Amino acid sequence: MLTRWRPMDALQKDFERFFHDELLPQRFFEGFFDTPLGEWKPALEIVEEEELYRVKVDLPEVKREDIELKVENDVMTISGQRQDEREETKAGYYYSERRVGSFTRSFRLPKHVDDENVSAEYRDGVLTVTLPKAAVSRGRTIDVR
Amino acid sequence: MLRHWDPFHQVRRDLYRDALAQKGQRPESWQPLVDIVEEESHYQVVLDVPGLRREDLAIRLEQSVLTVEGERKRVEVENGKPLHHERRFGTFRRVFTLSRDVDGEAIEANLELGVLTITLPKRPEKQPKRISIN
Repeated sequence: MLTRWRPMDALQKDFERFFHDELLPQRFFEGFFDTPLGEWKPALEIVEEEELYRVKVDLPEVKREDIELKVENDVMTISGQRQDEREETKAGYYYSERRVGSFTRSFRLPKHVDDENVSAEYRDGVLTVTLPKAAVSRGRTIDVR
Repeated sequence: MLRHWDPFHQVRRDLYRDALAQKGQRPESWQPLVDIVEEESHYQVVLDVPGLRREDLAIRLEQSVLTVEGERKRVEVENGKPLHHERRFGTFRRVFTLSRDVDGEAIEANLELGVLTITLPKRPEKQPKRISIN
């Protein structure tokens, strides 16, 4: 096959890869520009295990009663509020990276989740939601007679 | 062997060889987000460290340099398949140079709900005096 020789293409691709994937601290910017003021985007993780899915969300300083979990039409929504308690007493901020305000994260549950038995635990600033798989989808071996 | 002639190969290799080498050698790391607040009687350094326990953290004061180090350990589950991950793990170190009016002897730290709060009291003589009017 003949292709047009474009020596700059490879270089450009490398630049893109390098500056985009390798160098830029993407996580630093993530959620910074795409969340409105007064909102933040807590980091979320979903791990599939043999019999369940485990969802973990980093929610430092969020009170248990300020977290809301909802399952509606296969969509799980974790929302809440991180309150800024220092606001009234502070004499001055030298430096501020931490974000406060409301947050909402939604994701679609895999179809075969036993949504009646979803449980959640909050500890050390991390919310862990356990979603057991529905019995039918765990897979079973069928004997051939 | 015939190889595709890449006139920029050398340039590219030199350009990011060092950076990539460094990256490969660095262990996984993350940085907790920090606030530094000044109050009338003290300063506060506040770090978001969700999931960390007391034993995962070390706070050190040397001269006027405060170092907070720690490790956020990834809990690997056997046969666990990550479907989505934004949470970061690994070791971190954040270093702060303290103001001269901090009383190093009286620094206190508290860990609650995944937030580490370090309180650095100002020396009494540096605090504003209130003079009452008789």
